[in-house]
Amino acid sequence: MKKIIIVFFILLLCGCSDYKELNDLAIISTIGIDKDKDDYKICMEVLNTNKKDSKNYIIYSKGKTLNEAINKANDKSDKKIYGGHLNQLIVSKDIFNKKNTEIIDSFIRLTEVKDEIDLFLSKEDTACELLETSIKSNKESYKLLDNSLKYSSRSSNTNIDTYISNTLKYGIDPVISTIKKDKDNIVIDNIAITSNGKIIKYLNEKETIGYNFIRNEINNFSIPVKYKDKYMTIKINKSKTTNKAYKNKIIININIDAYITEYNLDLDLDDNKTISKLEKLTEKEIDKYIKEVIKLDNKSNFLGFKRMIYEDYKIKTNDYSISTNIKVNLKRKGELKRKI
Amino acid sequence: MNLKIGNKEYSSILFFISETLFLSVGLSEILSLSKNDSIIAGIIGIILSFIFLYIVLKFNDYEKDLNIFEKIDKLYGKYIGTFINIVLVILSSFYFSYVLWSQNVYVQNKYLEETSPIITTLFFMLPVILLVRSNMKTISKVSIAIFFITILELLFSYFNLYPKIDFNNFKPILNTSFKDIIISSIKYASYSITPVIMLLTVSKNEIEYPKDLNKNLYIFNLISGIKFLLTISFLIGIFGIDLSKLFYYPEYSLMKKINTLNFIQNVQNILTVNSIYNLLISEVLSLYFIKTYFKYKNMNNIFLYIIIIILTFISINLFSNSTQGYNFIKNNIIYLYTIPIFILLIISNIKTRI
Repeated sequence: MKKIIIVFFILLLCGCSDYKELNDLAIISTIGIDKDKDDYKICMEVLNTNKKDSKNYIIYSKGKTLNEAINKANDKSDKKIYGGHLNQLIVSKDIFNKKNTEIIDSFIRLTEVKDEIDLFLSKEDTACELLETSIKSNKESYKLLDNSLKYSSRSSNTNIDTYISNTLKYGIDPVISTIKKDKDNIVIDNIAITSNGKIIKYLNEKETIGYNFIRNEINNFSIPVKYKDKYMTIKINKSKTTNKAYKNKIIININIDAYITEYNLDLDLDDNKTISKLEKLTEKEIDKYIKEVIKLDNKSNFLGFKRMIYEDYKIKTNDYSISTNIKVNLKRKGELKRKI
Repeated sequence: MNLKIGNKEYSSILFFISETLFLSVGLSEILSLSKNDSIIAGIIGIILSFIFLYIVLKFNDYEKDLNIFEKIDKLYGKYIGTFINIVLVILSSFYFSYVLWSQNVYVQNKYLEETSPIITTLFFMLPVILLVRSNMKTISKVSIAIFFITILELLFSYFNLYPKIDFNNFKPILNTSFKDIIISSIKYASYSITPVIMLLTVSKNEIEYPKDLNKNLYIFNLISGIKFLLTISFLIGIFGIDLSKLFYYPEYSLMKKINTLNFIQNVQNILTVNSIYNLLISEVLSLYFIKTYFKYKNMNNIFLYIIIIILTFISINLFSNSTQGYNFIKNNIIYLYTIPIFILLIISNIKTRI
């Protein structure tokens, strides 16, 4: 037994030779990557672990390669830069189009960095400007963006390994969330679609929602539905998309459980015909979102339809039609039988 | 006091040694070769591994009171027997050096980037020497203890990784040539079963309930196979084959994905420690194999320690870089290790019948 205990202790204590105190580490939560002529300019948000009330701070650096820039940043800091808690990567659009795979490659190679880093594109300002804004507003950018991603259907979460995995696969192009400055804050914006590693279009809100419906990523979403100049609001409780591929056809099946959260129509909610009518209206409304985004399928494979046909039939084709089949089930009608 | 080696404890060693060659070589090689059909290759490989294991165990059933060196001497006579035994000891020494080198590369890559390989090697060699100095009973006890820890770690990992699987990633299936699937399965069977020959360093009658030994070894081989299939399934299901085949250490990258309740993160170093256990047991067993031969030839223990020191220092600089090392193993291990050993076992099995 003694020998077994000694074996375990020796194995577990091997790492003590190069240990680092927490106070000696500069823990990075977000990295912004910009272009500076042909070089990389990076800015790293460092979590302040020393004093409770003090703000996070930024370390800036430049380099011909990303790792050179990170290495130089180490020289500017009195602490060792530690990427184990890196949560977000913000890349400016200028450098993204030129070097996106190089950037992701270098982060995947770093052992201490996890693969599930959220990837963002800054389409208007530079990545460092966005980080500075978040520091000035005294909010930790990673918490702010993380929460927005969790509860929004107007964006889509892309982490670096999903991005690179979709880049490598036949028939699907990755998308990337964008962020922008909104007064003194940074906020999540719609998504950007790529083709052959280049940003080709920024989706508008409707297209982004349509994309999320197709990719089964709808989350916390309410739809205003119009009937005879009056509106009601349908809140989607549960949405399940099952896309079916045939050799030359894609069928998008969406089943939605929803309920009414706001009602200004003159129809009586106690009537079964009204409920059917409202369900049909909602289905039409959702169909509009989807049709909007399907139009873009010829520009990029971001919806992954070619991939689906390839997965099921092992054929590479551009010749297919897309149809939708949406079924809304109004589960609850709220507290009131009709409008007040 | 019961001096016999526990049956299940001894059999559990097979679980560790059958996985050692998959670290950085076997797993990524099979993924690259049979792509989405790696699971099918794995299933065929497991069936083949039972056939390979049957050949090893058939030889073990001959003269149950003798260890492998004594059996070979008895079968082939003094001169040829000694030659074969020396070849086996040389193969075992190379296996030890490679495993220690591979462990160094792995530790440098993933755990202790800044620590000198000499320090990690020396620290790692302390428990190895401690175990080699003891007997097979202690080695078996350590093996079964870490087997249960490994199983708990794996269950925790699989439970946490399951929700991340995208089942579309498994498609398209049967898109790889049959030849590649068969080559992968042969590689699986050879990588997992060839090192098992070192288990024969103990005679069958030194083990408790020797009649049940074969059954338990088959069971542990099956557990090892299931673990391999699950690892491949999680890799393809989570990363997709195109990304999975790029990793040098796919299992480590897989464990990086664990994020339970948003606070159990960065646990890959703990959860992949079973790879270190595989390496530890393999190193101990290969040195114990050499020790048994020295003991059989009545050589002084000092020679064993000299050999261990020489092999340890050789291992640090065995290959100039990891690409060269892994390519050497990929291209040569079947010809230099598997084929000679299985030719020996098959001829021996035929000879025992005559």
